[in-house]
Amino acid sequence: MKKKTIFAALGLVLAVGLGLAAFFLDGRISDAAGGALFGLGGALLGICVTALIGDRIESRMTPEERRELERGERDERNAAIRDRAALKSWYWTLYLLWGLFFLTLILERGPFFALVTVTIVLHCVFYLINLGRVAREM
Amino acid sequence: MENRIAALRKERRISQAELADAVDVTRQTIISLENGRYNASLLLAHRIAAYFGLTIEDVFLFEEERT
Repeated sequence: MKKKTIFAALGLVLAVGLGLAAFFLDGRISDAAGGALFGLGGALLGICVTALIGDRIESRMTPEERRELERGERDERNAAIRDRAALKSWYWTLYLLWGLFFLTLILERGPFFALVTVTIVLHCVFYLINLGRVAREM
Repeated sequence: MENRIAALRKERRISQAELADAVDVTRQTIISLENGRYNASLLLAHRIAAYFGLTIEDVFLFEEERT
């Protein structure tokens, strides 16, 4: 069995565990902690199920189909499409965060305002860090 | 940037899939190159030119050369 599949299966078990913990600990832990457990479990479940389904599809492929898939991942046009889509998504997320920033400012929601501000800063910092890294590579 | 990929391919009776296989890209990339929607990298341009046994300038027509 591939390492990736083992990690995905372990992640799935952990995700179910987190969900069950959130369910059974309801009332004994704070709502925020319960929500965090449930949210984390849900996100992990989504990632692991996607990975396992992807693995299953890949294992059923013929060698020719697998070669085609690998070529598609290496293909320079596909790589350019992925890069452009990622950059556009970055801008869209930034606009969305700015929208949330002003919304939390108008609604005077202190904790959410702080959270959105930190997220905007991190969003931009990660971009600058990666700009620097990629610039050094090229 | 225009190119003569489609013309060269038809001249030599090569399918898009065969060319894609030979230069290690997807068929969709060959279609986009032929339609002029995508410009090849220098590496891919070199591979395509080498496949046809020509130089890059023989296959790809730069804007300045056309004017």
